[in-house]
Amino acid sequence: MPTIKKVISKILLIFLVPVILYSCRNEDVFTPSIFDTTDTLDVKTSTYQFDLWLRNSYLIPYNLDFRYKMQDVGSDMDYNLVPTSFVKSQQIAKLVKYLWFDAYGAVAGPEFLKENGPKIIHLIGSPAYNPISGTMLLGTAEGGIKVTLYRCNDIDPTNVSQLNQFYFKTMHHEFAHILHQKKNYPVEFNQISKGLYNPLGWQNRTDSEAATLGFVSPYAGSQIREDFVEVISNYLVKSDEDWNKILFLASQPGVNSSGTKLPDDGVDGKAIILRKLEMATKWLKNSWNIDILQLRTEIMTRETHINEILK
Amino acid sequence: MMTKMKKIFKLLVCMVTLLFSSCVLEQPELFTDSPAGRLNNTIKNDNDSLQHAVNGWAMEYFATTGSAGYTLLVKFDPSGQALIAGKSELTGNLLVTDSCLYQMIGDNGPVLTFNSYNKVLHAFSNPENPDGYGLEGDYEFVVLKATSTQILLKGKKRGTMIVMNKIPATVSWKEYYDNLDAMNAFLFAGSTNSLSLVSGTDTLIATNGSTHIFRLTKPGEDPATTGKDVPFIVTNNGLRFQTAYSYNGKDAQTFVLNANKQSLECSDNGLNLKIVGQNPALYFLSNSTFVWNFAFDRPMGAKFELLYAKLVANCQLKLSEKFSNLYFRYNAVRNSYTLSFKSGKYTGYYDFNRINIGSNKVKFEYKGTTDINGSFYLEKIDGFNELLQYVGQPFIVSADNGLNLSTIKFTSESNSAISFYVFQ
Repeated sequence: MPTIKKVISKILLIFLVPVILYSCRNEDVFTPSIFDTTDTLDVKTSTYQFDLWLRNSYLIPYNLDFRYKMQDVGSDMDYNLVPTSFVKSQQIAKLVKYLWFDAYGAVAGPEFLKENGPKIIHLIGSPAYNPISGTMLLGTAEGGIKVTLYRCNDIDPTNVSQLNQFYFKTMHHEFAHILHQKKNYPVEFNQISKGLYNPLGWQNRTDSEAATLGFVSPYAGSQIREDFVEVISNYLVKSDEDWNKILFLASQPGVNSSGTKLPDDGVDGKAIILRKLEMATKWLKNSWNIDILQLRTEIMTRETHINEILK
Repeated sequence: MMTKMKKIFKLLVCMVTLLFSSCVLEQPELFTDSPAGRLNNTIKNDNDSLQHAVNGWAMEYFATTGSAGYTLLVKFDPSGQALIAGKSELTGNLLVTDSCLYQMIGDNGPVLTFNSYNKVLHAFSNPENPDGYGLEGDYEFVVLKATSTQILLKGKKRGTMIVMNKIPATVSWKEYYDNLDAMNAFLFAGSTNSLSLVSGTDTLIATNGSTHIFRLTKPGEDPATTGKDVPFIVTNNGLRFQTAYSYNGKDAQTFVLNANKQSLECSDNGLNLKIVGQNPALYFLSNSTFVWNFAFDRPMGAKFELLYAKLVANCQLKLSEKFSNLYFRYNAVRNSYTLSFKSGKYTGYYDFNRINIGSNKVKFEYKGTTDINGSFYLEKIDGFNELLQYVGQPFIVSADNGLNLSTIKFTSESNSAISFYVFQ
């Protein structure tokens, strides 16, 4: 009996151990970049100059793949989408660098986005419509790695208000998601507007209704995490006049989509928004050493020079 | 117990032996290269084929399996740029050209992707009108087959089969579209008549041709409530169904305009299918609400030509009016089919019967009744009596274009010098 057991054990040892060892033999070594940073660009392609600029502006310094050639498989296949035009892609790439990466770099230091920024930015030409709810997706941040920006074909670089409303608010919104996915926002934030979120019907609230409830936008009233990043993104891109308009709306009785003034709900929307901003400000400072006011000023200043960087 | 252990031992030895033997006898290589290597080769060859056509390709594009076809002209530059031209309602029926980027990628096999926005191609994919959907067309295509003259593609999302034919180097893109426009106009411009898909004694009625989606029904069926939709694309020599129509187990897809321009014929797989128009006389008689205007710019018989000249001259001479129109139509007020005219600001009516006398013939019969204007011109202007005599007789009805009966010809049965064209 013991002899047979020994034989069996030996057979197993003789044949299984080398297999196990072999499977461990070729260990891959991690490289500094997940993307190919070697100079493989083809000078004969029509996009060479732009590709070279992307390589020097994003890939090498930030280890970031700026995907302007739409990849169907890299997009959400549930939506019908189209690519971004080459001209718009170039404009967006330059604006993103100037108003997002360089702005953060100036305030938080050059290493901040290298360590915390997305590794892929994917441009989509059209919005991602949700026909049933009548809403559209303007951006997504996936796992802190990839930011997808939609509606890029509609960008008008001469219209700062539109740039902020549809693009840069989205970028700061998505980046704030990336940051809170790494370091969570204060749990107290969850309690501020508890019970007032409406994940399925947020789009039916007007700006006024949302503000009186203490949300900076209707979308902020969809979920807690959206509320948190909407406070940051709106504060960063809205002018003083527009930000104060939100606070003013928040201090007035709400007006619904039919133009009817709503009864006083007893909620001080302005105080709530300011409290949320204070929390976000502290979180950015304590968790990321970013002064939101300084960052906002940097972005506003840069917005006055957009024409120069697009030349 | 010992016996059992022996059995287990033998079984283990056998298993280990099997494991080894399974690794020893390797199958001979079926391919000379790895799958990735073969895919890369295919991609390179397909890319070469795309760029090989110096004047580009005519892409027969269908957005979805239920959509009509549109011809897009595409030229692939070695630098990675594609130039695409199109002319459709999406471009305001103007010939629009735009460039974008393209790439052959290894996705679902070799895939041709147009991965930057092109206002001609991506107009079919833009998810607007209605929001979220649009026309739902593909802009990424699996390359199924590529030769030097034809490339067969399959839409990646919608699965529509799309053919690209090489454009001859001697034909300009404008000429190409002019020819397509001419064919489309020939077949469908102004057309309200149905067509028939005929093989031997079998007939299917094909309606809605001008939408480029035939509704096929059996004779007598109502196309509004029954039938099968067959999308097609107009080509330079006829039309092609998006997918083959199975007839008696054989596929019919390509129809070519025959030499006498009376039918479209399909000889795919030995078939003898024809698309023909209606009998012109029966079509004329089938609907009394159509307005049939005399086409004075088309050739008329010598006697009718003289009569027309006389009417124009006399209206001008006697009344200082321009004789501007002559037409057939049903007049509800008079409760009669009428021959009507317009001179200056006045319109007059002569009441007629239309009679089917068979063999593609129609007889017009003047009832002898008219309105006050008709009576006035009949009495005062030389030529109007003659007009009623010329029209009031049996005619042979024919069509230069047997497929599109928007214009038909009437020739007097007894005197070929009395002939004229009418159009809708």
